[in-house]
Amino acid sequence: MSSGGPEVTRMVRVPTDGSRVAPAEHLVEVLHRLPGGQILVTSIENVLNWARARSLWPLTFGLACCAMEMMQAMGTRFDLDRFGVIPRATPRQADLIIVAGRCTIKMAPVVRRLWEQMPEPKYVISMGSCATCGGPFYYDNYSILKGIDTVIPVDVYVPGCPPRPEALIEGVLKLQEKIQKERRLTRRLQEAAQAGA
Amino acid sequence: MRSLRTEELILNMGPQHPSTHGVLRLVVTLDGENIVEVQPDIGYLHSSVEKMMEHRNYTQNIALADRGMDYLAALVNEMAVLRAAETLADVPVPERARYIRTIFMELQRLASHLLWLGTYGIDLGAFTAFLWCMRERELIMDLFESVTGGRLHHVYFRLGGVNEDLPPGWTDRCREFCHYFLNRLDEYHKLLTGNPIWKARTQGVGVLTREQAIAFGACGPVARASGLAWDVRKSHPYEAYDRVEFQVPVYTEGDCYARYLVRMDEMRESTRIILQCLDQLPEGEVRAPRVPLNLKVPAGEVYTRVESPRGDLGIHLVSTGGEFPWRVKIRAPSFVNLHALTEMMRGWKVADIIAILGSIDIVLADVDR
Amino acid sequence: MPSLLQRTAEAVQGLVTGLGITFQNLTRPKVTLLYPLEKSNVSPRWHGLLALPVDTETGNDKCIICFQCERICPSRCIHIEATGKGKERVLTRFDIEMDKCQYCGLCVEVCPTEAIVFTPHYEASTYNRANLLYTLEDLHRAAPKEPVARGILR
Repeated sequence: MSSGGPEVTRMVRVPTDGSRVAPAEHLVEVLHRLPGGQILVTSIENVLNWARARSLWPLTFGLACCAMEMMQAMGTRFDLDRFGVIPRATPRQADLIIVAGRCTIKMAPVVRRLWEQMPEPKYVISMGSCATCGGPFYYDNYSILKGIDTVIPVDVYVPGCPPRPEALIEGVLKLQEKIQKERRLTRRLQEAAQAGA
Repeated sequence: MRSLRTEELILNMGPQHPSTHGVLRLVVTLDGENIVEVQPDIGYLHSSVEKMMEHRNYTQNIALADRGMDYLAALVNEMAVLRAAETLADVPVPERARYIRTIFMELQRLASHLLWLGTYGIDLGAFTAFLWCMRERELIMDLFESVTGGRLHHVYFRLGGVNEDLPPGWTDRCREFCHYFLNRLDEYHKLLTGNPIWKARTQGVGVLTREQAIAFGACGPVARASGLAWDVRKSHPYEAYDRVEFQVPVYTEGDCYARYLVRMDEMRESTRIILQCLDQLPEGEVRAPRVPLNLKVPAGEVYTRVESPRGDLGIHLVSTGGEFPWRVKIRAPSFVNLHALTEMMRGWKVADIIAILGSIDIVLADVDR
Repeated sequence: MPSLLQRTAEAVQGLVTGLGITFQNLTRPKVTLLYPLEKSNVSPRWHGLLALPVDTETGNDKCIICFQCERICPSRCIHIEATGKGKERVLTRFDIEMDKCQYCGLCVEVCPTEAIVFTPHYEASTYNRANLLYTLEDLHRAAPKEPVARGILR
């Protein structure tokens, strides 16, 4: 894939149209090739995961009754702001979408578009029975989606009808645990290594 | 100088918007900042509730009614569905159950108006109102949880009464809450009612005249703020409403401020109703004996109505003598009130869309069912 | 049209009254519940996760396989299968799809032996939707399938 010289495993494909590789990725690649570089990359990942888990900003996306419990979770008694969760109105500034409530077939393309507008890394919490699998609206129903994971990939499912605000907070904590264990940079390095080999 | 050529802009306030209280899409035609026309696009929460009710018996429909329709008035929806079935099947309801049902419906009305006030405040920028209303709502939900077991969806009413009796000590807690809440209501008045910013944003904005209200069939606080004195609790009393004294607030200006004042006064009247019911609560059983869960309602049709926090909720029930209803048609108050939106918004500015939309207090599950 | 002085006086009065109420709250006790460290006491009637608790005397649950809960469930999320006839019936399958359950309580109300009950548990979040199908062993255990998350707290 590289042009001339010894075979080097690159983290990203070298663009052939003359544009440049992003400096941050270049830096990570360089660090990885230093002695003890893997530990350095893992430490960088831990710091990034630490920051991402402690400042999840959800999109205000309440569809139906579960939105009321989500509002209670952001209210006075169960303050989600203690976990760094600040609701944002636009998907461009959000990295979490809490799908709270039943999603109809008419609404599905809108949810998909909103999810696509969110920048990476992004996470999805499916709150309540209706978003998980259609819930009480599964049978004899012509208009409700049987679960939001038919249109967007979901990270954490929170059951309940509606789940208590504490249950939603526990779902956010489970997501934080998942984020803490992520290895995005290492995975990309491994993929590049496999592709180069 | 040649005059500037202006075009009308079509703005889409999409289904995802922090202030549309659900998934409502508004297609707004603007001339600069002035609104020419507003076209609501609904159906983003249509849950085919009326079809589902035809495949479930009346007890299962209670579970569907309190989440499929207006989820903020869960107990009132249960009452609506049960009132139709009990009228058609002539089911006796003991007195204690009637009073308990009235207390819970009024508590639900309080919770619904508190949520409306909180979200209306946050739409207009008063973030404090939201936090305080959520705090009061938590107390009401605690009261609900100790009796019905649910915070938002209860499934507490049954054919012939309610499911279980009140636990001991609950009436004292409820009284304590009512007195505490009356003090809080005075605080909300001090915070919002005299505030010049609040008045500037809501007074005179979005006027609905009495003739327009009658023409659109508006109901609930929207109609009562326009001078139309229509309240189902007074005109067709049900449960214990004919045995308690309460007033129905009516204002004549028809603007957002009047709708706000109507709901604040309604909260005070609801607290009075709850206190009177607690004083008059008779002893006895809370559920009529020998009423089966899969009751077969005799053939016929009936139209009954209850007063939900949004207005006049009507149920047209057609039964052919079976365990499942043949047809349930829900006359939803928010659906009817939403029709008046274009008239109310014509001529105002973009920032007033939020003020007017918030003041009619729609719940999208009620509009779309 | 009120004069500038009148409007200023009204604005200042509104501001002072409102801020006075707001600052009064500084002296009142806080109502925030610090969730993972303190948990609220749910009421005895709270509709939590369903369970078939094991009776200590008989070593088995109290279910008599009458199918009433399966019939009354509005979400049709209870699936019961049994072999044998009459009193010799043996339960082969008792699944509850907790992701479809509405937590309405009709199955608990209708059960003649109080075999199926609500537990106070409500923390059952999971990464995988298949974990929300509770089989007979999970219902006997009367607890969520996965450990409760503590997040980033140590």
